[in-house]
Amino acid sequence: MNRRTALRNLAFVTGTAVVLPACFHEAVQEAPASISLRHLPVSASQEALLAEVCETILPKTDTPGAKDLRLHLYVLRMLDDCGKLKDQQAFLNGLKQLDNAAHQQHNLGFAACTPQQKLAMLRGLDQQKGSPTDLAHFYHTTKRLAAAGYTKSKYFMTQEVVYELVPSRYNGYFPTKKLDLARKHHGQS
Amino acid sequence: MANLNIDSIKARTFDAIVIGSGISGGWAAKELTDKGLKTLVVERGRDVKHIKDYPTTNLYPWEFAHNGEIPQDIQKANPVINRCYAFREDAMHFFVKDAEHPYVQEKPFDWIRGYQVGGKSLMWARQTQRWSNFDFEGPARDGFAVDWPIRYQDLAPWYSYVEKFAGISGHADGLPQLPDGEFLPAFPLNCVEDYFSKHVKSKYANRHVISARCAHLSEPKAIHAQQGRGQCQNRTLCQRGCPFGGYFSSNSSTIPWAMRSGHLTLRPDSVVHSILYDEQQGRATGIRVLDAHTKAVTEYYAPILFVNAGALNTNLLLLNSISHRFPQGLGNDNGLLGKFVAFHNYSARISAEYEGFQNLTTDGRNPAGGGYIPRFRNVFKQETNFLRGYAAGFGASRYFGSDSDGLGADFKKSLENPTLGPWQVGSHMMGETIPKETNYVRLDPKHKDEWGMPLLSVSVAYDDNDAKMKQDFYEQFTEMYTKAGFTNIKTINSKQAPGLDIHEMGGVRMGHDPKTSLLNKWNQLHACPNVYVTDGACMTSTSTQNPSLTYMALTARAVDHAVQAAKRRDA
Repeated sequence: MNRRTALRNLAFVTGTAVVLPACFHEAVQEAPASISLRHLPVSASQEALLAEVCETILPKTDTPGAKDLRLHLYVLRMLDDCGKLKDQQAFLNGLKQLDNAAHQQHNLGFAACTPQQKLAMLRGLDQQKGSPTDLAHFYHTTKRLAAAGYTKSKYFMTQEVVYELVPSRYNGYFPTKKLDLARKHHGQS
Repeated sequence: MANLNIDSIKARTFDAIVIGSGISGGWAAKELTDKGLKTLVVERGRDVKHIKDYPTTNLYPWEFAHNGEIPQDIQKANPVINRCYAFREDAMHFFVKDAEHPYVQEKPFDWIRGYQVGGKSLMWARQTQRWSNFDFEGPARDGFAVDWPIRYQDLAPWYSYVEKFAGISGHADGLPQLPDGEFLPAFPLNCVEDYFSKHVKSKYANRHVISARCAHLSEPKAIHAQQGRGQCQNRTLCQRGCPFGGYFSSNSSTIPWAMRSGHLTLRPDSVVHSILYDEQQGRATGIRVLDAHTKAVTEYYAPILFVNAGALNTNLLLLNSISHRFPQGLGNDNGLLGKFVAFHNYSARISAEYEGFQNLTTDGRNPAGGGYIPRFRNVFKQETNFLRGYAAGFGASRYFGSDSDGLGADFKKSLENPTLGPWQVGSHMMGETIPKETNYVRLDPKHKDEWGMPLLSVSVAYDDNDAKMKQDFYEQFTEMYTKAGFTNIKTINSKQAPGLDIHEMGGVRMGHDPKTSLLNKWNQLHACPNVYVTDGACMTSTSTQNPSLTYMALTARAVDHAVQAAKRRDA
């Protein structure tokens, strides 16, 4: 049995895909993220951590939260496909640093912290403008993409600020007091 | 065997051949088939059928994988096309990727191409203005290029002819530098555009901000219904292809029209290698075509040939059509083929804000894009330190935004309740450039593409006249914006290379004299008159107007001439 066949059989036995070669560099073989990513070697637990960050930024209120809309997957997809290499690297570093910071402050991983602890940690980063560190860069990238994912989501564009595919009209003198963005024909593109 | 061969030649013989199916090739196809000629249209790209082949046309924003953005790997692999404003996730399948069709840039030149049936008429910006005699008389008056062999009066009836069919929306503004046409109702200016229009009119003798004229059916007529086209629905998603046929394209209009005549044979995936020239007959007899996929070579024959491959590709094809009679390319006795290429200078913009009209905004979308400012510099006489002038767009709009600070429930609430910002206004310059012998295209002596065609080598650059004109645009618009009370005025130098304007023209210019031009006043090659060139390659100068409407009118006029000339020969 050659090496390739052996690996394939191993994958078969364990029921997980073996991804070569990036995962060999990790000390611990972790399950990969739930979507295939080409440039961001994010593990399942990092994905879960990111989901917590997104939910803290855009929590479930009387409208769906980040987890309901799976916004963390939007963040990963956009960064993986459309992000620049240096942004991807800073994001990955920052993602790891957030968990380390949570351990230092609360002796817990970020995901296990209370909602108040999560909010306090991220609020500190929110105030660090200009992304001076990888950690702040990670936060602001996540926030920007999660917000875009939210406002471009089907939910948002059909329930909150409705998108019109076929307006069939143009009025260049429309009174702002008549605006109602939740109305189906509010006419704002 | 001999009979089989004769049958085969017969099957490959037509009354007319059109090379290219973009905005001018589509018109050639329509006009030739309307007049009953059995016509072959060859297109190097794939077929794109109206509606059926518009895969993204009805997608909602959330249905795109990347929210409209182009993934990094595609951007990196295609630096030229990635600079095009319309190269976005919803329409990228209609643009030529850099690596698929290489060319040589002796100087930076962004060559934007669409290789498919319909060409770039699918994704064009649809702005359509007539030229005036101030444009046709420009080279003679100002002493550059050569005199146009036609005047506005020659083209005016043909402008009317194509406008009625294509459907052009606009106002009759009564301006000598921008003749009125056969208009469907204009898309109106909005309150700030109107304000600026009135303001400019009150402060300047000869400056006008009018509704942009565009190839949209604001109010379709019977002729448009006959094409299967309906009213523009203000989607402004035109670059995806319009399921309503709301704007003019070869795909929605001329090609299916020609197809319904029963006289059209459309061959996509057919790369024309060269035009065949017969020395005994003293004329072109047909074309040599490579199948885009199998590379199999086939020849097709016709007594009339229309070259509409797109300005620079028309140059390439003629340069590559070598014979004993024409060793430098078909019709190129004077060595000027490929020279005097020009374009439009689109490298300057200006933006500002306006604090008025806070109680008003827009509702729906304007497919015309807003206002158009016809050329006002050097129109009636020379008055600046540069030749010619520029037109400009003018648009005003308000955008929604929300507070980007904070996180949690408050941040989410602010996203859900965006507020209107101030009016944003902007203009972009569309400058006439002076055709020069030093701006040229030629065949690369070494490199060929995978179809065995020499690569096109492009050497086109801005000059001092362009720089002075650009400075004037900044100054004049800063002054106009300031007087109108606009604030936060910012001039923007895009520093873009020529080509990104997607208005490259010339190389096979029209003129009176075979010694100094390639085409006569009917768009026939002086030295090979059964070959007509009616795309951007034929342009003697560039004017400031968007050129497509003029290509359409020139094409319809040239087809009429070709068919009448053929009848005279028969008689």
